[in-house]
Amino acid sequence: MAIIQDKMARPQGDDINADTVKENIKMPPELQNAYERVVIAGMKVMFSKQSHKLMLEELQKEGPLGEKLGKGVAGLMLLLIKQSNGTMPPEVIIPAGVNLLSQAADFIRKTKLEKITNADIGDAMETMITTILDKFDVNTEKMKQMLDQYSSENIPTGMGA
Amino acid sequence: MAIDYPIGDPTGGVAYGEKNDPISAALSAATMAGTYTAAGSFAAMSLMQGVTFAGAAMSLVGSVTGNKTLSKIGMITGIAGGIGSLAESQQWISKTPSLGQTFGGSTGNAAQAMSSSSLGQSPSSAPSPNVQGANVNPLQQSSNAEFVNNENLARSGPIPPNLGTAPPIQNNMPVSLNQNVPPPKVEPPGFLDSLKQGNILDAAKAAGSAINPVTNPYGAMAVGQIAAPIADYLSGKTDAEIAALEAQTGYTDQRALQLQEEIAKEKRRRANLNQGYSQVDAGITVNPAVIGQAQAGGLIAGAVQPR
Repeated sequence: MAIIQDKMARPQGDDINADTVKENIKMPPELQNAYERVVIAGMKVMFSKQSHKLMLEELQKEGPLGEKLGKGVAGLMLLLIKQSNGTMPPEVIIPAGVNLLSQAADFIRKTKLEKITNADIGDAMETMITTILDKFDVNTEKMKQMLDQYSSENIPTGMGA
Repeated sequence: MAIDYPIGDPTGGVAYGEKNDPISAALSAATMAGTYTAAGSFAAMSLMQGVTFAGAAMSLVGSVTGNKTLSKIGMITGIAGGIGSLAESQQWISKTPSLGQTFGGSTGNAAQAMSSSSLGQSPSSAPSPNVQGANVNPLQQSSNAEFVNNENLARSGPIPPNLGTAPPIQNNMPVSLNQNVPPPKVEPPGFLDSLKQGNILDAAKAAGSAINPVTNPYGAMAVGQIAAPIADYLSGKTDAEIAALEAQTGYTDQRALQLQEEIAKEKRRRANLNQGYSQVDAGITVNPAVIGQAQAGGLIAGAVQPR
């Protein structure tokens, strides 16, 4: 618990950096290779030169940037899952999605395509995770309700720590 | 946004594909997210395990952004195996497996679902039919059962006159589902199989089959673009790809900086241009009084006076 608190102790207002996010994703050795491959495949798609027209159209649509970005990366992950014909281990989906989302956020910030804030990134990440979990029959509403009952002092015990 | 881009360059800019933006395909993929069938719950536990692996990153993002959901997920995942155990104990994950599962879902789940259908068969009373991915409508099953009963009744001969009421439907009769359920479709080889066989055309067809190019042309285009990365993913050239990726990222960063510089340069050019128009020294002055007179020499010649 103390370790996590230390990791969380970052001053408010810092920009979320893709490298820092990547460093905090800890994959077990047996999944590291698959995770890297998925990230590479996702980045190749995201950085495709042919896709710029789609971005312009999508960004001009109505709606919060965080929502658009979160659903976008979730859609990308679902696309990768689908096209991998089931060879992608489910364990790498969320970590790879978090990684790709932070990369996308970094790029938006650097290019100033849109004004993106830390709050947008947080919203995007939450949207992405809930969208993917929904697709896997995880009841995210129930999950949120349960999480709301917990505070930092009220961590559930007996969960295999 | 468009006004921020440099203008006046007939061979460059966004319209000429000079921007390698990562969110393009992602955002376009968002429009396709709804076309996917729900994945099986058996994979959900593994997925939640993945949440654990990314828990520290979520904590970080949650703390910086103030997103409480991310922070709490991160806190719980910080406890070994926490989110998976919690998901299971709190029944976030559906216990009933669904049909049409991805990740190679076995027919056993489908058979189990079928055996406990509205026909009322107990799982042990009849062998589980081997139906993969069949979406059986309970309502339809009931009507089928009734039809079978009536058919059996008709076969048994003429109805005795003293039989005023129809016999009750027997819920436990061993109905052969195979005769009511259409035979499973023979699926064409998938993307992976076609790729392994070296049949690129079929692979491309399989890759695009999930997306309707008429209703979602962008989706079809994005799927076409994704074929190569997936092929790379399957090929296992991870180390080389990582090196290439690093180079690509470096190029992207460089391109981003270059783009910013170009935008700033164009803004400066516009500012200078506007300022220049208001203070342009053309070597002539305009005399309004002269313009108001007869202008015998013509509008231009009459208005312009030598300095």
